[in-house]
Amino acid sequence: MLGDEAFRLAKEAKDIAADHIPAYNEEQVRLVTQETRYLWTRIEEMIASLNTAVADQQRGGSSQTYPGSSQPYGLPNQQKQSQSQTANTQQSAAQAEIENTNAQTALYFLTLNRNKRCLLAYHHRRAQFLRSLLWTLHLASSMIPASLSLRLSSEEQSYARDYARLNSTYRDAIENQLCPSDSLNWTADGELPPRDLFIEVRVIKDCGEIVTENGVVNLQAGTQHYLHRSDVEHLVTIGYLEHVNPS
Amino acid sequence: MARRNYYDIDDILAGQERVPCVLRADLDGLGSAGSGGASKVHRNARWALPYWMADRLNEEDYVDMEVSPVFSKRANRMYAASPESMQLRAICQHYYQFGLQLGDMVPEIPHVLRNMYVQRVIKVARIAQQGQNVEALDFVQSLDKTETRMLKLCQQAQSAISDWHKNQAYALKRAAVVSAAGS
Repeated sequence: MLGDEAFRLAKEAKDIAADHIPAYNEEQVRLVTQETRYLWTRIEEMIASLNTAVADQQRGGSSQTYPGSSQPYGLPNQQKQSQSQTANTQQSAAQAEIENTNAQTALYFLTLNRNKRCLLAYHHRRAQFLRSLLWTLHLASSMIPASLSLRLSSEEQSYARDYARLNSTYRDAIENQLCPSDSLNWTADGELPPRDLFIEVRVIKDCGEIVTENGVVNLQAGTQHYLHRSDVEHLVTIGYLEHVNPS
Repeated sequence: MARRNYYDIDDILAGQERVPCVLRADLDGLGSAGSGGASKVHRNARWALPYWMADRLNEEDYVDMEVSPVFSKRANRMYAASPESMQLRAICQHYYQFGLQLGDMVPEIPHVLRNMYVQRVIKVARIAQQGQNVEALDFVQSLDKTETRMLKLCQQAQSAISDWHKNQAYALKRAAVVSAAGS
């Protein structure tokens, strides 16, 4: 069936969840684009043949050959009495053939648009996933886990880098405008309001030292600290620290 | 609007459902072997086409599209009779989405869909609240894609409530992506 390859892409796009993305199916994308290009050349051929066929019909329709269009009905040897009859069947056969070609062109054109839509939706969904991934990583495109970056194509990886860079430039411009000598806290969670000022964290991965308001704190794996929320919130999101809840 | 319909994956998936049609012209490329020349289907033959194809070809009068058996009169009567026992996953995985797309053709579809949905979603919400329930497994397996998504949302809401009880609601959590990738 004509639209099946594109449908497979759509199904893969559906598989994308908040924490999982299947590998970029370059083979499938190539197949779909190939099919689309083939369809387009076929459409052009058919329209050319249609133009000549319709022109021939308008000229009287009694010409022997229709250049370009395939004539499934052979031309029998006419005798004088049946000449008009054969001319009529020839006419209706040609008419049917024209209608077939019309329908075929319409079908190919629809499939072409469907392929295009599936391709666009696939890439759109993946780009959406990439963007939300970058925001959770606080726009550090270098911090994408290796297992994930394996599943992205090279264009997607450069998209991630460019997106991060674009955002940082924008951020810096805003900071320069609003508070030239200070810096805003961009890593605060926009959706969940903070509950307390200080939080208790346990270090999972070694982060080195961070500068807090009370001085320098050395974050070694396995230690527990009681720190300002704003200082360490971003490290919790990316998994270096763990929030220990006193319940 | 374009964002909701054009890029919407569920819309694309639901549009792939087949409807029976009668062709008015010879068409090529409809066989299961791909667009090979051997798969020509002649006029006045019946063939099941995907909805996206059938709808547009119907407008141009190259095919005559008929109502899919999923929403035939007989089926609609069955749906009205007992919504909760219908095996939607077996009938049509994208039942609601597909019904929305067919809405122009069959005028009773809005009522049918609404009836089904209202009855079933009550049961879905009740199952979500009960947690692990073995008896409801049959029903859960008969839900279509829209309803399974609803079920997942309800279950997430339930776990959010229990988190709040345990004072965990405001705990900062590691992003799902990181934990899935890091492990």
